[in-house]
Amino acid sequence: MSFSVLTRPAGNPGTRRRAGFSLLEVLIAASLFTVAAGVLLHELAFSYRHYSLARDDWKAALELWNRAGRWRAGGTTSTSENAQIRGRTAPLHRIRFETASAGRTLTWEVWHVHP
Amino acid sequence: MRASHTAGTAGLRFTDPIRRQIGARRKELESGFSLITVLPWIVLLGLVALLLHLRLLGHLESLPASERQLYSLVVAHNGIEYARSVLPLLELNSLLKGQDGRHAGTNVPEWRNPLPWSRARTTDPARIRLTPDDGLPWGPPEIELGAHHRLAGNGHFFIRFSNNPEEPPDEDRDGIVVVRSLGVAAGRLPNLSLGRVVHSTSLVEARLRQERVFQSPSAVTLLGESGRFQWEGEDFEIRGGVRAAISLVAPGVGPQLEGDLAGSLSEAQRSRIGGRQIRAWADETAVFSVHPHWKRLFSTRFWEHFEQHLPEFSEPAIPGLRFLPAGGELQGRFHGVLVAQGSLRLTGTARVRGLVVHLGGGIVALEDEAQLTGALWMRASNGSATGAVSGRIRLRIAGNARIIFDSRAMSEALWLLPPTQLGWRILFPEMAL
Amino acid sequence: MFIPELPPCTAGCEPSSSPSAPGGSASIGASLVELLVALGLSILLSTALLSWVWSYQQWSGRLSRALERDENLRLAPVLLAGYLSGAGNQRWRHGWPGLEWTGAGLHVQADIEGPNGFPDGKLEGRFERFWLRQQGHQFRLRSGRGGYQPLLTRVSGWAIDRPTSQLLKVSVQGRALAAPGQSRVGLDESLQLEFFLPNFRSSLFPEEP
Repeated sequence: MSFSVLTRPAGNPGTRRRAGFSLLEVLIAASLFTVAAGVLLHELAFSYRHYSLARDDWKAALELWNRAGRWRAGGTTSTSENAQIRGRTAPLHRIRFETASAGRTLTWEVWHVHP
Repeated sequence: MRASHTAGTAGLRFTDPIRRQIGARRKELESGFSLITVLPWIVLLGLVALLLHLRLLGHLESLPASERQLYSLVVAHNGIEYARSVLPLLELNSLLKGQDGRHAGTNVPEWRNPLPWSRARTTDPARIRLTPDDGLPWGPPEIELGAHHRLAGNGHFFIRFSNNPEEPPDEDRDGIVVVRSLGVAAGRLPNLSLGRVVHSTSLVEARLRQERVFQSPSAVTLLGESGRFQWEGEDFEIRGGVRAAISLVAPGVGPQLEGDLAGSLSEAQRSRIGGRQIRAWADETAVFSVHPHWKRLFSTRFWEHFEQHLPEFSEPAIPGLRFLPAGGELQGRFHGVLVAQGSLRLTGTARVRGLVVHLGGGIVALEDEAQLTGALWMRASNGSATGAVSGRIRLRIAGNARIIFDSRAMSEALWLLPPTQLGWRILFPEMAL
Repeated sequence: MFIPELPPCTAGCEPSSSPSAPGGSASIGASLVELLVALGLSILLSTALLSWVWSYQQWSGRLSRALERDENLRLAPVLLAGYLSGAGNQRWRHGWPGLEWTGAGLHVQADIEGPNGFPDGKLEGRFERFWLRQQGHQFRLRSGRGGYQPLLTRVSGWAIDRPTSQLLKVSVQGRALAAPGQSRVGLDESLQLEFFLPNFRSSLFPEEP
């Protein structure tokens, strides 16, 4: 039993390919695979980054939701603006909740008559 | 061994002694063949990556949609709060009929909604203009009254009032209205399947009652079984009212309250009460007991609830609602609703514009130059559980004290009383609208 | 393995001989050094490839499971807001409390609809009376007289807190399935949601007419 792995030219040049894959072929295949894998990874990493950003936004939205709920249930804060309509009605308070996520600021405005 | 084996890794191939028969055709087959060994991996991993990519894309679309959906609910709730705030200002029957004075009827689909749901989802909310009509509030710009409000974060709400289903759509008697608020959180990205921006919407409905229970018919309204009145001098004044300057409400106890009042006044003092074509006093018990708002004053539960929750609603602001649980003395100015328990004295140059509601447990005294413009409510309460209105009223008027009935001042005070929320629900598209 | 019979060797076909073949040349076949280099390269390439494939598979599997978990959790705020915000509607007309936490689950009552589109004083409509509870890894909802239906999956736990009558705090723990031997780090996700309950707010005047 003999191995003719990556054989180098053996006399007749016509036999060079016949005897298995050359180093060049393997390197080309490996390079192709590496490039393909790199592209795949890059694409996936790109989408994953976007997904992470969207997920951060979503979590920021939940934080805003919770803050709005707490504020409605808990009463006024010093940062809220009294939007009483020309001093005629029970105070309608307005507040802006902001949260930064991935370089973007998410803003919600909440109005409430306390209590 | 005369077989050829491919090991499965890139470009590696083991062969037994090469068969002599293998010739040029075989050579052709083998040329560049090593790519095949990586192709399945590339395809397989590519498929996995593609599937993940698609799932991520779906998620990317849905996560902002969740944020928008939640914000639309917050914005819709803001609309209800806005409606709570402005409802006391509104004259309900003209609001329900709209600017043209005629209700369009109930055959219009979604007639209680500020605008059709489908339109809200697909139209840029900033471009929506509502014509002020049935139930859509309008008003002079100085009071910022409107049916459409824009908020931060690209949120909009639209509100519409309609009468409660127990009454005709264009005539309110009980002060109860339904308000619907459509919250729109404008979308950011075109929907992949529809190819256009779809906005997140939420529709919230609240049933609110405008509180007019303390809309007094007289300068002074007395609710009690009996009274102890002290009138000092003949310079005081109690003026104005719908029918009489003093309304007497004494459920089921006969004429004792009226007798106590009549017996406490000299002829000269009596002339200081009333006004042009206005009687000094009148027994309004029968009117109160059937009136949609005033009949609640005979309920023990009404007074218990009111007393229990007053501290939560009391505020230091002027104008505002102020509660003095242990009474007190006022010498300066006050504007709004002043509710007191125990003894309350208005002395010196005290000026009160609005409503004074006395819950009993002491005396109300107006002395010196004290003046109340609006109306005074006094309720006797001896703390017994026999009824909402029981016991003796104690009132002392001295010096140049004046109580002047003023419907405008009273209305301004009533605007400060928050509407009562009788219900709050989210409406879903599948529900009957 | 089936080897097709090939035609006899003709022109250009040189005999292949083993190094030990008599008369063979050292240049035919592979030398030991060549073999070792080839083997080394093969092992190196194979190892690199397999480890990359393995880590890629691990990472993508983990991401896939996290996505599955998030796809469930993503629904929780909107769904729960829709179900819970209207809790207690019209409760002042009835004897029921509107919201009860029994330890086993949350019981919600809200008179929200009737034949004319408005509350009718009965809790017979869809989602006018329902129970929320966790069963296994599912968050389930039972409406009226029906059976429990899954609302969310991949839920490992939940808790309720009601610091004031108007505020309900719901914690939901989401859990992605871990591959055998896989660390759970990053696979568990906890959501804290706070709901304002408008039907439990104070009113200055009683609701009764």
